[in-house]
Amino acid sequence: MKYLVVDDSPTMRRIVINALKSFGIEDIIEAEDGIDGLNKMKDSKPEFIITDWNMPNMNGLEFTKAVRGNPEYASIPILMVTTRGLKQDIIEALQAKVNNYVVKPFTPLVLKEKIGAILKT
Amino acid sequence: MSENMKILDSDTREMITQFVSEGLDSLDTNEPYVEYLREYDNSEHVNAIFRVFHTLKGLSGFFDLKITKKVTHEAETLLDLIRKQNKPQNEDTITVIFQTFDFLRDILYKVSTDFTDESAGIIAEDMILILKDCLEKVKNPINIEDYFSEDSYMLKEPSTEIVEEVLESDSNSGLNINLDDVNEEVIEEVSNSNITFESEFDDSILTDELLDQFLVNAFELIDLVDKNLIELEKNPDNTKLIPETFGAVHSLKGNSGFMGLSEIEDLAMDMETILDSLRSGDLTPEPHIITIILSNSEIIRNLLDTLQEKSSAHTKKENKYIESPTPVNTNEIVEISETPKTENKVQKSPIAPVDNSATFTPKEVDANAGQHSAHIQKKDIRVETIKIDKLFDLVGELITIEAMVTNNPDLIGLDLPNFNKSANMLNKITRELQEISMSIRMMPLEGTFNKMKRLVRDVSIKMNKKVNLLISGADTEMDKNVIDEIADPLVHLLRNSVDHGIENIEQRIANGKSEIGTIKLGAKYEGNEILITIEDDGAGIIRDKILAKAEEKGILKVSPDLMSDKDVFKLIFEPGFSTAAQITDISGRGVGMDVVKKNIEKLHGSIDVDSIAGKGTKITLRIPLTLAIMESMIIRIGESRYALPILAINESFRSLNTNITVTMDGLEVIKVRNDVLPIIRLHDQFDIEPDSKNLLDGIMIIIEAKNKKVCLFADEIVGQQQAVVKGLGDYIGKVPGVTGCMILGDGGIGLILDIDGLLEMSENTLLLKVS
Repeated sequence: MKYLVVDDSPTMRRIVINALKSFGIEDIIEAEDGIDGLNKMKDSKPEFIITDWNMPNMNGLEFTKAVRGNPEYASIPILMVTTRGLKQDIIEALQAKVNNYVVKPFTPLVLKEKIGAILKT
Repeated sequence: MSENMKILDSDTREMITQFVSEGLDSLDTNEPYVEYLREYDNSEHVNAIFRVFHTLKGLSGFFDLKITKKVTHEAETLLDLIRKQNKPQNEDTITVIFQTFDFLRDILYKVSTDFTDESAGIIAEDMILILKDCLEKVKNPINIEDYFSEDSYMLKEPSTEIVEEVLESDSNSGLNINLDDVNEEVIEEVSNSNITFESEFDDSILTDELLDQFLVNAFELIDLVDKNLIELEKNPDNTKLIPETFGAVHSLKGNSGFMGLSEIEDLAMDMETILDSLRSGDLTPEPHIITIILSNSEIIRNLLDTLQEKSSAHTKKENKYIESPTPVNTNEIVEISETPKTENKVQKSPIAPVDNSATFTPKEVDANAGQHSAHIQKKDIRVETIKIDKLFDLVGELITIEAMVTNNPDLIGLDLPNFNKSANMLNKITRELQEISMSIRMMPLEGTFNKMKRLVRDVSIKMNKKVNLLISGADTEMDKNVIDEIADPLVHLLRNSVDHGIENIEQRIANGKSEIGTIKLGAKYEGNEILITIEDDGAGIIRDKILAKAEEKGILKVSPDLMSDKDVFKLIFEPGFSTAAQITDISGRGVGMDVVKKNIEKLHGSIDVDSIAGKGTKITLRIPLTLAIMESMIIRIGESRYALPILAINESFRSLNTNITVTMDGLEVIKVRNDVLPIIRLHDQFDIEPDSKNLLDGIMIIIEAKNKKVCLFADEIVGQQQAVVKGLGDYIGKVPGVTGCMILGDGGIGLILDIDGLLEMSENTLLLKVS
């Protein structure tokens, strides 16, 4: 199963990827922002997306809407990574049909459970 | 956090170095934009600066850089306000932002050498104060003079405002949460933004007992949340569920925070945010939103399970508790209730041999509507189950001793009217004591049934089917130990019903059925058994398909012609059997159903399958109410004594010659009114020398189970006794026809006969003779 990690911060991407690798997930591609994410998706089709909310150029919300708006991608599960406190963001993200969100800082355990919960439903 | 660090440990340092260089980079890149804040139309630049703080804040959490996190949090708040204002900012504000950039650079340098930011604590306090001041000034630009005259007042201002804001928003919506809680939350929020850190919890406060209590309570809360959410999904208009759910999540958040379980606390906070948005109408309770909240609650449940495992592994002593109206997940919980209900249950509970034909058929309630009973407040106390088990053992001993005293061989032939009177009273009291102690372990099935709603919902969504689960008899009570054992089988059976039973929507419509499938999950008393039924209106089981499959799998032992439909259907419970053409990850791996059978047999229960192709399938589980004490009839064959469960006995009599016939196959049968029943000679069965082998000398006992009858032949009936059932012990193992043993009144040992086993044996003999 291929994972796409979208985040403008290389450190954040690394944190997520390290966690994924610790769960035994090796097939991971990275993107710097939403636009990069959409470009990368053309070449290699991910089956699970983990995206940051706040990014330059195209933020996670716009990215989610773009993914959901494309029939080819619409069913790919999206887990959004966000920072607590921005309730309005969370509402928007949920309305944009992300499958769940995880708040920074998260532990690998919670990330794993969130991914598991999404894959289960 | 610690867990996070553990995973990163191998290259934490490298990661932190990367974090520092990324942070410095981003500060340098974006610093020039700060100048633009004094211009109109600056939103692009404000966003860029906001993102600098936002990213740093997010990352610092991962490296446990608390001070960096707090400063960037303040800075982020300031930038958020500026972003919203969308207007030129004055020099003071710009200076503060530049200052913040410098400060963060300093911190990052420190981090690059120390790998922590703790040394920056004191100067950070100043930085935070400066940022807060600035925030105020940006908020109320006119009141700048006040700041100079009433310095301290201004500093306090923000927190008071937050309190008011929160209180206002809560009272507006009529959300019913304790104001104290709200204040606490706000205080927590406010103190977070100061430079005081949550002190690490002193482990000594977190006793095992406290943890246990927390777990019990947390499971209750999370059960309530699940139940309400499923209800809410079905009735989105029932908005009064939201505050209650919010309240439960809120308590869970508070408790887990107190226990230092930050993962659970965070997840609960996420749920709160969503519930709050549902309450305010920003979100609507659509399935995908409900799914997200339910996923979070499931994650919390998983974390709680892990905690519970750890805690029970930690404490060798089983710290089990008995309690709670919706005990569900915590396997350790039984309930003692002091409501009058208990008394009814004692009567109702068919262990009392008063009326063994009584069955209770509670009226069927739609799962959606069956909520009210859950909220009845019960007066209960928590007792360790270990004490209850001890009590139970002692009562068992008492019953045995009582029988030994009243049936004492020394008394034979004596005329003792006073003794007999006292003995009768003793007998009456021990029975009452036994009934009460049994009822203590009785719990309603409600908790287990409620969990099934969630299961059916999840599976049906996954399978893209529509299923309505109707629940009846959730108030039926069973021995807690038995309830624990049937939860798994129920899960398997219900999954199977949704997956294999209910057809997909198109098929249902094509077959002229409603597109919504129905599964009825019911429980009722019958004799000293509980009947749990799972009935779906799905495709039913097709006999030939099962037989073909069984043949293919090589599990067919008897010729199909000899097998009734029921026998064929039962093949689905054989190990290695699976009819699903396509293996799904829900059911159909050929494991599961045989586990169901094993678990039920472990409880001395049985499974029946009825099915009509195209109409549906009904699976009936018959499970003894309790495994521990049984009213029994003692019979004698030669020197040996055996016990029969009294509820299985139809009648006993001495036979007349004319009733007995020997068939051509040499099978002895007896005609009782209109029935012709096979005779089982128990002395043959157990290979013992009876007083007499003549069928006319001994006694005939007709036993019945699962609508089948046989006639047992023994020497005589000795008497009736409460049997405290004991296992045979592992070194003896399973003996055909015997379920266990008991201590007799005179201190001897009696074997308890296995009625189902005997019936099966008689059938096998029949088959052997016929073939």
